[in-house]
Amino acid sequence: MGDKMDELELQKQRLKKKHENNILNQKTKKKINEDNKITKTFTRVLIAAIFVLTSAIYINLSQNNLEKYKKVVFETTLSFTSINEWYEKYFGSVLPIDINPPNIPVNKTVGEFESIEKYENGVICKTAKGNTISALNSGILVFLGEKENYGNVAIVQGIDGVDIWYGNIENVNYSLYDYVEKNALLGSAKEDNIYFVIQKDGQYLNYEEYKKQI
Amino acid sequence: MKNIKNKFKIHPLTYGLLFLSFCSGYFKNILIIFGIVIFHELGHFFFIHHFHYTILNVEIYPFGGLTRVEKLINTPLKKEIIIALGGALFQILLFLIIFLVYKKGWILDHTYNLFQNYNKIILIFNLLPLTPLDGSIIIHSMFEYFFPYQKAYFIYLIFSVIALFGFLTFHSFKSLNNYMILIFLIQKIYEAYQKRKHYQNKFYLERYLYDLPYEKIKSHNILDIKELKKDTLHFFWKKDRFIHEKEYLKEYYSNKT
Repeated sequence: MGDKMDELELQKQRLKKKHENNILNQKTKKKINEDNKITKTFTRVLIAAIFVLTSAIYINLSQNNLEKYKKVVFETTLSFTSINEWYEKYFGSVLPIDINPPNIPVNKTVGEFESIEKYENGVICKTAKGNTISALNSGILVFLGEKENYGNVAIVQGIDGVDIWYGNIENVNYSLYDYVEKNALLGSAKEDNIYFVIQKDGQYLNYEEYKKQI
Repeated sequence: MKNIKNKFKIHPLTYGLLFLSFCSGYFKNILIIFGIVIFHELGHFFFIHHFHYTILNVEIYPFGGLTRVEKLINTPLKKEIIIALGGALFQILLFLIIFLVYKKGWILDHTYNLFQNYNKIILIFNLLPLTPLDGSIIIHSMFEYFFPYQKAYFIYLIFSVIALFGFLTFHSFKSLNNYMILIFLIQKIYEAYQKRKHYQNKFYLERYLYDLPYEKIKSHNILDIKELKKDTLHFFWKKDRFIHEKEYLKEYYSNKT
């Protein structure tokens, strides 16, 4: 009986030692981890430096290169909606959570404008200051800011791949990269005239033809 | 609070999901989702720290986060339930915070709606009784309150499987995400089934090694190790007197060897 008591006490001690050994192993693992981290950060800094230097060399080779580079950096946006559509076709939703779009004020009657005339690459529509502007088609808001000749512009990248510019708009209730539903209230007219530009893959489309299409 | 950097891990698949979401234009959505998840884990962290337990790690997976804590299997049921509910509590707090931020005008309608919807869905999801979500810990603790440890574990496994079938009927099979969540849940239930003997032995060993704070005392006429229950100190009648459960455990294990 006494032997068995000693045995159990020994087992107790052995367990405690095993526990301590586990902690020591963890400490050596930590050291190796820290060394790995230093090499990781160094390689990342090196890759970033290579990228910056090659860009600088490329730009400085010719004027043409500079213009190409500027165009890619400042004017093109990734086609979010087409990537999204492609993925959703094969794999279902991107996000782990799928929710119905929230209740947003919807303007069913997209009001007729007093006059629609050709303007630059799009159309200029006469309306009244403060009138609501609703989205022609659903999509993602990719740009909010000033554009030459169009005033304050909101560009929506539509789900059908067509970009729509809404010019002279204010009080936009969405922020960048929000999903805007068709006929949702986008904003209000800043002045008596508002602009629409319809663009697909660099081509400018006709406003009225496009409106009939969607 | 010390080595929190080492303990906070992000699973590689999460980075994949982040990249995919950014390419699809879902910047705000995905950042809100992970912000809510992190705040939820903070809730667990707060209560774990309050009870002076140590956190092993916090891992963020594409569908949520898991906090692993170093605690005994014999932790008092009240503490288990409070830690499990900690995340949900912080999410309710988040509802209030977001509401105040919205009223002050710092965020717009669209963002506010997104936040509240995601918060609600993540809260409900976490309270489902599926392993290893918080809801399952609460259900397990309830079983352990009424039944001895072994029986409670068995009922818990069966309940998890039934709950999994329930989950299957409600979720669509169109998206890859749901399949991955399903595989993860099945894996965790299988793991819980595989490790049952290990946990059982740990349960008995802890009771033998440590002086745990029990809430109740119970006496038994039959020498049966399966009667051992959480939060309860047991005495067994042997021949002519009552023996403490530690004595019984010692005898049980020495007889085994």
